[in-house]
Amino acid sequence: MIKIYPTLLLSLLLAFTVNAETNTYRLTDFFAGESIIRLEGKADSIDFAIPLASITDVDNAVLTLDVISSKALIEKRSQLVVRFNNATIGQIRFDPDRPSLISEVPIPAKLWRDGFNTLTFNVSQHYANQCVDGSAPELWSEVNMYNSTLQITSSNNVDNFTFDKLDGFFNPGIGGLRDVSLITATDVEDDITKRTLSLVGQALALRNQYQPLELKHETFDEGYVLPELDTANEGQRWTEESIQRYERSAWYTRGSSQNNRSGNALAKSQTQQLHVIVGTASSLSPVLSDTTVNSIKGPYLKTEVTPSFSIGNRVIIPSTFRLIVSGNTTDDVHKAAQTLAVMDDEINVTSQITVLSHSGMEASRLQKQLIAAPDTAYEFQDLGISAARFRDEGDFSKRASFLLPADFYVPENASVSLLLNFGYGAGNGPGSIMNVKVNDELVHGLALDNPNGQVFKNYKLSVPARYLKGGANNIDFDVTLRAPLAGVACDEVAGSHLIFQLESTSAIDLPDAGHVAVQPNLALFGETAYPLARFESAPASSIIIPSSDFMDSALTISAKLAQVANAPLLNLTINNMALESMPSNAIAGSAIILGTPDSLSQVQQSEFTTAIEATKRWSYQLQNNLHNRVRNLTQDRSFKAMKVEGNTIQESDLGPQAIFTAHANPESNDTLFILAAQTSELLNDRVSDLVSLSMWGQLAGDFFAWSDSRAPSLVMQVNETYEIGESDDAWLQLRLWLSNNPWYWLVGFVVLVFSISLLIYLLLKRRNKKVQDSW
Amino acid sequence: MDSSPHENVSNPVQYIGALLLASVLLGAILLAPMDAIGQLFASLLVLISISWCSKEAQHTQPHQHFFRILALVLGTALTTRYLLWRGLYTLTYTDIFSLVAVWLLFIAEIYAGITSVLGAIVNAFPLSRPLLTLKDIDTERLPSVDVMIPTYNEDIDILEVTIRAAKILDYPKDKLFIHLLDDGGTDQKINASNETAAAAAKKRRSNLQALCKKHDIDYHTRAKNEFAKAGNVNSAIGNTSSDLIVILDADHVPTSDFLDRTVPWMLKNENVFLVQTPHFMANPDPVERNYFSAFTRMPSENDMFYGTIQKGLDYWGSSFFCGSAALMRRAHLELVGGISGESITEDAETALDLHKLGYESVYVDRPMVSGLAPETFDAFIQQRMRWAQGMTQILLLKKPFKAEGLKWYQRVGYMSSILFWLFPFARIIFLLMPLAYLVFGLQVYHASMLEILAYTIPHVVATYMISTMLFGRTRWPLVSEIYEILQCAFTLKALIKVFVKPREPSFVVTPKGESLDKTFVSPLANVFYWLILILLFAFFTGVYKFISEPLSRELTVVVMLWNGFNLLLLMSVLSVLLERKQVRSQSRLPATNNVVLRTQKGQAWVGDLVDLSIGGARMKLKGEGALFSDQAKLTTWCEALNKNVHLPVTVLNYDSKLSLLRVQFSPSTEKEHSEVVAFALADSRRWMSFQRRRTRAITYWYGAKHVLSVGLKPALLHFLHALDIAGKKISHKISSAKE
Repeated sequence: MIKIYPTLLLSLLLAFTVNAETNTYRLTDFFAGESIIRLEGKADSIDFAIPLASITDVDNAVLTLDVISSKALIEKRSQLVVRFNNATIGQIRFDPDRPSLISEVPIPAKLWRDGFNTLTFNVSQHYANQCVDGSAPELWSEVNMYNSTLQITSSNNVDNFTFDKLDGFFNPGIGGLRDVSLITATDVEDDITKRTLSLVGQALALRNQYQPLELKHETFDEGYVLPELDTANEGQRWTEESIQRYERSAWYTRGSSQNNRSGNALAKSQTQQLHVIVGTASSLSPVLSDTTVNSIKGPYLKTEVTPSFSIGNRVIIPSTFRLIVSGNTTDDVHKAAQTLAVMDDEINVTSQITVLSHSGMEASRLQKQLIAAPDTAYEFQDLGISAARFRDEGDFSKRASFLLPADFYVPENASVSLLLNFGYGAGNGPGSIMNVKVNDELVHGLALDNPNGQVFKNYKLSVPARYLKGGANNIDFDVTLRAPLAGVACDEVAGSHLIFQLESTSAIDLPDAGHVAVQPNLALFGETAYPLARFESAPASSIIIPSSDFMDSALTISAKLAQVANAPLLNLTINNMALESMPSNAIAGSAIILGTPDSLSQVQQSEFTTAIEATKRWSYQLQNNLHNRVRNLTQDRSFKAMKVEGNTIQESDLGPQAIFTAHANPESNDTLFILAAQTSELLNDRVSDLVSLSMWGQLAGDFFAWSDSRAPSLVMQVNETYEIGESDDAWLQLRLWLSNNPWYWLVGFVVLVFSISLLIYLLLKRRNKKVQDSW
Repeated sequence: MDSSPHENVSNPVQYIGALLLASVLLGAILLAPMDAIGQLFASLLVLISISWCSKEAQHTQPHQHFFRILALVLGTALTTRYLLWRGLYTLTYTDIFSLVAVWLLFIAEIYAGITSVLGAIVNAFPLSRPLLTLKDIDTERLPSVDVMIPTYNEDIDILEVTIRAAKILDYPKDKLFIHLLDDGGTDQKINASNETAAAAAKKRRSNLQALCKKHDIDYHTRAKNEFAKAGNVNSAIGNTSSDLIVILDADHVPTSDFLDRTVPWMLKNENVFLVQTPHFMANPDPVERNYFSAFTRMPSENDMFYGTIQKGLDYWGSSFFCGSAALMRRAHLELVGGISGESITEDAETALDLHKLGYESVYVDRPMVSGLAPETFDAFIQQRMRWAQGMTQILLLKKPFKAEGLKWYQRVGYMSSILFWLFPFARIIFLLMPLAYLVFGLQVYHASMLEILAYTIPHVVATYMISTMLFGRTRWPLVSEIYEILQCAFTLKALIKVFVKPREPSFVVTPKGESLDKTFVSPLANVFYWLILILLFAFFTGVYKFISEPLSRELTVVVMLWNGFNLLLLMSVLSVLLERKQVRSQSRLPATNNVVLRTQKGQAWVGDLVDLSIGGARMKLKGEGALFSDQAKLTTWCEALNKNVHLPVTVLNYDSKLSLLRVQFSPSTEKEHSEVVAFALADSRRWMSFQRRRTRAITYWYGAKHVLSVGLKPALLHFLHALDIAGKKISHKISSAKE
C-alpha cells in the first residue's frame, strides 16, 4: 500500500493551469425552431437565449450572420439591428443590390452575464420612403440560423471550488460539463455500484437540466505505477517529496484525461475536467489525504481542487476539480448521494458537508414534487409560471408549461378549468386578439376590441381534459396587439401605448384523474421516464447489465431518466449480473436490460414480437403492406400504434446500430425494455447518441433503431398494447383495457344478449303455449 | 326456431335462474367503463343488429318472435348503458341552478327509459287469439246478457243509433236485455235549484223514457248523481240480473256479432271477468282531422293501444277494461261491489281490483264497436286530462306496483299503462331544457361530442327503431311526439293537481258529436304561441352563442338541433289548433258492397259502394246513362241482418265523368231506420277491413317525411288566419271611419 505523505504547502499553493478555449456554435444550438427564420413586415424582431455557465468567463465572442433580404427593400430605411442583452452591438444595412450577405458582429465580453443572455434580431424594412403597407409581401428578410455561428473564446473562472460553484460546472449553458467520470476503487462494494453511482450521476444530471450528461465509471487500484520521468534531464527523478506531491494530485485520472469524449459542440467548452470519486472512506483512502479521510464521520460531501503534479516545466498530472461523495459505510455514501441529489448549491458556500440526517427522502415523494397533482387547483405562480406583459405593436406569445403525471388518465368528458386574470389597455386597433392553445389545440379566441381596454378576473375557460397528456403540457397565450387605424392615408398611429398583461395569479383547476397508461410506449418513456418514474408510487425498477462493460451506458441512461422525470429516481438500481444465471424475478417490475445479441440470448424472448438474440426475430414493416400503403398515402410520419402481423427469423449482427425495444414484462404487469448493440463499446456510443437532445425527443413506438445522433433508422409499434397503472384503481385499469380491446366487450355483450334473448324467448314461448292450451 | 324450442323448456326455474345470472352479467358489462371510441364502435354494431333484427321480426318471417325479443334486448341494453353512463359520468354541475337543471333532465330521461323498458316487456309477445263464435253452442247454455248504455247529456239521436244497433245484436232475444241508464234525468237533476236546468232534465227524462218505450228497452235512472258513470252503472247492476253485462258508451254502436265473438270466451273459462274489444272510432279526432287529413290512410291514435299494446297486455294477463265495448261477468263484478269509483278512470280501476282477486281478462282484437272521437281540440284535451288524472289516481291510491294478488308481470303491465300518463313532466322538460344552455348558459349535459355520438345518438336512434318495430304499423313516426306536445301543457297542470290532492278530480263527460260549422283557432292555442316564441328566442340566442363562443360550438350545434326539433314539432301542432270546418255530420268510411239502385220508374243501376256513413253513401255506378230521379231505393246485402235490405235514398249529386253518385239515406219507417243502422254500422268486417287498410307497414323515413311535411304548412295557415282577422279589423275600421 502506498503511504499517504503529509501535504506540502508548496504543492497546495501550486496554481493549476487555466486554459482559454475557443468553440464555435451554430445558432441552431440555441434555437429550437426552424433553421431559417423569416422576419416580415415593417418591423419585426426575434429573441433567443444563449445560456452561459457561471464558471465561464467569455474572453471574446464573434457572431457571424448569414442573412438574405428582399430586393425590394430600400437601402437607407432597411436594416437589421443586432442586440445583445438589449445593447445594440451591430447594425446591418440591407442592400437591394447585395441581398445575400454574411456579416460578423463582435459581442463585447462585458455584455455577457451568467445564465441566459438575450440575442435580439430586430429589422426595420421599407420599400418606399412613404406610405409603406406593413403587410406587403416584399417586406422580408431571412437569417439562416444553421449557417450563422457564434464563436466564443472562454475560460474557467473558478479559483475557490465550493459547492455553490457546482451548478456552474453542471449547467446547460456554454461552459457546462457534458460528461463526467465517476471514480471508485476497483473492489468497490456492490451497494455503491448498484444504487449509489446511479444516484450521483442523476444528481449531477439534474443540475444539467435538459443538456445530456454522459457518465463514465472508472476505477483505481490500490497500488499505482509511477510514471516514467525523463531521467535524461537533471532534476527529473522521483524523490520522496515528489512522490508525496504525486499522491496529492489526481494521479488516478492520468489514463482517462487523455481520453476525453466529446459528445457535442458544447462539450468542447470545458476547460478543466471535474471528476467525482465515490466510495467509503476506507476504499477511497488511497486517493484522499489523511486529513480528508479523518474528517469523514458520516455521509460526506466535499469539493476540492487537486493540485497539479509537475516536474520542471512538465505537467504530468494537471490540477483538477474533484467532488467527493463518501462516508464510513455504504449507507453513508448513499445518504451523501441523496443529499447531493436534492441540495441547493447556492446556499452552500462551503467545500465540505457532513450530513447528519435527512427526512422526506422517500422516492414516491420526490418523484411527484414538481408534478401538478390531479384534482388540485394551482395558480400559475405555484407552477413556476411567471406573469407576462406585452407592450407595443406586434405578435407575442406566453407559454405556460407544467408537468402532469405520466400516467394521467381522465375520462372522455372530464374538463379542466382555466381561471385567467388578464387585461389589456385602451386604444387597441383592429386585429388585436388573444388565442389560447392547450398543447397546440386552439381552445379559445378573444378579440381585444374594447377601445377603453378591459380587465378580466377569473375569466373561465372550460377545456376538455383530454387535451392534456401525461408529462409536459403547454398552454400558449398568443397575443397580437395592433394600433388603431389613423383613418388618414399614409398616416399611422404608433403602438407604443399598447399593453397586455397576463397575471401569474391565473389558475388552472385540474380534474381528478386515474393513474393508468398504455404500454409499451417509448414516447412516454422518453418524455417522462415512465414506468421507471411514476407519480402515485415508486416501485423498484432496475437497469440490468451483463457485465461492468455496460456500466457507463447504464449510468448515462439513469442520469437521462432523472432529467426527464425532473427528480432523482431513488428506487432505481443497476444490477450487474450474468444473464444466464439471472433469476426470473430479477426483471420483475420495470426493467431495462442492456446487452449484446449474444448476452441477450439468455433472456427469454419467445413471447415478444421481436427478439434480439444471436438469432433475431424481426417484425418487418413490409410484412404489413396495408399499414405501409396507408402511411405512404397519407404521408403519415407519426408512429401511431400499428400491429405488425408477421416476422422473420434471421441470423445477422446488428452492425453499427442499436435497438431499443419495449415489451410487456412476462414476469409482472409492467414493461421490460431491451437496449442492445453488437458490442458494449458500440452500445456506449449509441447511448451517447440516444441521450442527445435531438435523438431522445424522437423516441416513439416500441421498436426504435438508430446508428447515429441525427435520426432513428426505424421506429415501429409492433406489440399489442396493454395497460399498467395503480393496482388500487382497478376501475380505471378496466376502462383502459376495455378501451384498447373493445372486441372483448363486444363479444361478451353479444354472447350475453343472445343468451338472454334466447332464454326470454323460450320462457315466453312456454307461456304462450300454456295460454293457448287453456283455450 | 318458432316451432320447437318450447318443447325443451322442461324446467323454467333453471331458465329463470340462468336468465337472472345472464342479466346481472350483462348489467356488469354495461356498467364496465370503456372510452367513447370503443363505445361508438360497439353502438354502431348494435344499431346495425337492431335494424337487421327488426326486419327479421316482421310478421311474415319464420323466426319473428325470437328476433323481436333480440331487438328488444339490444335496445334495452343500449338504453341501460346510456342511463348508467349519464348517471355515472355526466351529472356535473357548477351551481344550484345547473344542479336543478341537470337532475330534472336526468329524471326525465330515467322516466323515458323506464317506460321504454316496461313497454318492451309488455309488447314482447303480443297475444293473437282465435276468433270464436257461438254458432255451435246450444242456445240453452247461453248466459243472459244485460246491455247497459249509460248516458249523461248526449243527444237523443246518438243514443237512438246505439239502441237500434244493440237491438240487432246477434243473440237470443229472450236472453238479451237492453237498458238505458240516464244520469241526466236523475231525481237530483230534476229537483235542481236552477229551474232551467231542472226543466231540461225533466224534459230529457221524459224524452228518453219515450225513446225506451218506442224501442221496448228498459229505462233506468236514480236519485243522486253519485260516483258519475260508475255509480250509474252500479245502480243499474242492482236492478238487473243477467249473467253478463255489456257496457256501451252512448256513442258506441255495436256490430251485430259483438256478443257472438265475446261470449264464447266467458263460456270457455269461468275465471274470466272481462272480454274487452277495441274502440273503433268512426270519425277522426281533431289531430287526425286538422293535422294529417289522412284519417283513412294512416293509423288512428288508438290503433296503437288497441292494435298492439292491449294484445301485449293480454299476453301478460293484464289487458284492462276501457269503459265501454266490453263484456263483464256480473258474479265477479259483485265481488268488488260493481264498477269501482275511487278514481275517475273507473274502468281500469275495476279491472285492477278483479285482477288482484286472481280473475282473468281477455282481449278480442276485432273492432265491434264504433264510437265517436271528440270533435274539437278542447274536448280532446278534456278527455285526455281525465284519463291522465284517473290513471295517476290509480297509481297514488291503489299502488299497483305493490298490489297484493297481482303477478309481477301484471304489475309491469299496469305500471306501463299508468306511467305513460306521466309523460307531460318529461315532455315539458325535453321541450324547455335546451333553453337552460342556450339562454341561461347552464351546462346541463356534460359530455363531449364524441360521447354524444357514442351514447346519446345510438340510444335515441335505437329507441326510435324499437318503437318502429313494435308500433310501426299502428303508429307513424313522430306522431306520438305531436300528441304528447299537444297534451303536455294542459295535462301537466291536471296531474299536479292530482299529486297535490289525489281524491280531488271529478268525472267530466267528454263532449261528443259537436258540430264544426266554421274554421276557427282553438282557444287553447295561446300556450303554444308562447312556447314557439320562447323556443324561437332560444334559437336566435343559440345562433348568437354559436358566433360568439367558438369554443363551445360543438355543444351549441347539438343543443340547437335539439331545440330545432322541438320547434319543428311545435310548429306542426299549430295545424291541430286550427279547427277546420266539418262538412258532414257523420264521417264516411270506405265500403266495398255491391249495390243496386232502383228509381221509382223502375230503372236500375248496378254499382259498388265507395264510402258509407249512417247519413249516406257514395258509389260508383257501372254502365252509361244519367240518373234523373231524385228518389231511389238502394238494395244491398246486409251482413248484420243476414238478408238484402232496400233502403230509400235521395240522390244528392252525380258525377257523370267518374260515374260517382252521392246519395243520402232517407228512411221513413222504423224498420228502414234500423236497416240503415244495421247496414252502415253493424258489420264488423267493414271495420276490420278499414283498419287493416290504414295499419299498413311503412318505412320510418316515409312516415317521418310525411308527418314533417304536413307539419310545415300550419305555421303559414295560422299566419294567414291572423292576416285575415287583421284585414277584417282594418276594413271594419275604414268603413266605420267612412261612415
